[in-house]
Amino acid sequence: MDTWLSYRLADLLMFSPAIYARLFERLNDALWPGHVLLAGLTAAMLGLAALRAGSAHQLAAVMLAAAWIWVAWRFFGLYAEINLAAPWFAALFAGQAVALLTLTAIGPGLALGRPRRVRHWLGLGLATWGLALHPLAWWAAGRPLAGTELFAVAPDPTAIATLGLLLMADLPRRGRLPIRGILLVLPATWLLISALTWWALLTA
Amino acid sequence: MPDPDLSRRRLLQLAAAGLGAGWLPGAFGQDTHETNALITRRLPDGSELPAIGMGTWITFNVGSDPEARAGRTAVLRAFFEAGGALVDSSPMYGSSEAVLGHALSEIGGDPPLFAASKVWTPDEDATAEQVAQSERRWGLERMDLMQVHNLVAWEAHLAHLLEMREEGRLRFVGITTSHGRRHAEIESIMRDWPIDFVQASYSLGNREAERRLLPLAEERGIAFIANRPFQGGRLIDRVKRHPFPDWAREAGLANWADYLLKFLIAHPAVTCAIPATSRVDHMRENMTALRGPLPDKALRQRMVEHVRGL
Repeated sequence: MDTWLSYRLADLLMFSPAIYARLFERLNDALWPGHVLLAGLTAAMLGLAALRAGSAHQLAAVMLAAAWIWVAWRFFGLYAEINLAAPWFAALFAGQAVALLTLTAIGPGLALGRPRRVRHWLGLGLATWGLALHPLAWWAAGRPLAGTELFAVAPDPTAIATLGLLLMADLPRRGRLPIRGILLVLPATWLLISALTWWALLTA
Repeated sequence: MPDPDLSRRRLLQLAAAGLGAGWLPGAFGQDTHETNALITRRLPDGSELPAIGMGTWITFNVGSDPEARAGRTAVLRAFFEAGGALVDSSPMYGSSEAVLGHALSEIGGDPPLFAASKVWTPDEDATAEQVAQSERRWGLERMDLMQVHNLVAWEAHLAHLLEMREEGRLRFVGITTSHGRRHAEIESIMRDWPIDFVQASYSLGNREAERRLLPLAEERGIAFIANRPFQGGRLIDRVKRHPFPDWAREAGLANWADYLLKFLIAHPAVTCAIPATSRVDHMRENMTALRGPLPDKALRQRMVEHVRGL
């Protein structure tokens, strides 16, 4: 244990920042022109979540789960080539997809109302960041547009937007079960892992 | 225009080292004019090994990215053209072994490769399987050197590797550590087991190996591979912020990479230093250390003091 503790985080990093960034370029290259369809599906998910029909909310939650499954399969499938821990991260994303599908089966789905409380506004901010500003921020930071990170393609904006949508959503407690809290755990865990990865990449 | 006589001389040097038969450095367009012979070190079986090798941690872990793979192929080609032989990798380095295999197949011919990889698994019965996996990934029939990586399940793996060496399925067997860890355990293995190689971190910024491991390697005739010679890039980035000293240039050192690497291979117990890079220009800088005069004891001391003062 002492031996492990004597490593810096950067010592355990097994790939370079450039190769990590290339993952997003390669994913976007492979997806293009599917980005148009992706944008349409994302808009449809938000539209369904904003409707006042229960079945629409359930479909919106299924679409959000599909985004997590897609990232688990496509992004982490590629990431696994350079990071031995990637299959564990893929399992985390698949787990969140299962949790969202469970929300569809036993709960209200993804129902977005008009923001009223601080939580809603915080959620709106995070969702806006994940869905729109995160890719623009990478572009502004100097990544080529083809290498930017998009919701439902890259894990960070997917997790950020999901946190936001879950904070905005009406998710009543079921008995003693804090549904929202449970659904926030895996996206927050991923963002912690991602933050540590970036910390290591930037301090290597 | 390459000088055929020099090329022939170079080939003879490598052939004599048991490394270059059938492969002509410079065959890929590099000017082969040289002023100095390669610096080589004698291995436990009497063969010679060029004293600058190549590591692959991080730098060769690029997955299936075709653009990055082409870049690493160019780096490996530059390494061979400059006279390098020992390439070190590990199954722990992600896709590095597969990327090396791809680069070797792209380069083709019969480069003077000395293939070194590692066994890295807690499964004590998986030694031969991991050796076979490395052979498959590199596209080779036999690895030159297999090492127990960071002493993971080392007793069982070492026993299996030594058996494989006896059966002729490997040339050499070794153990590795890095970052200055577990030197007492490494030392005890060096005393008690008939290993050929030991690999540990040694650089101008981390000279811990000089205290016990290097003297013991010399005493026991164990080849020593110095890993992390630039401390993962931090050391060379730090010194490169300063002008290259005139006295070092006058002593025959060409650049900071040459300075940091020649300091290591000038130690009588060091067999090979293995810097890693993903850039051809850096590879060429590194390989300047494979030729030219080595610093003596007094100059090495001056080199230490100068870097300490930066």
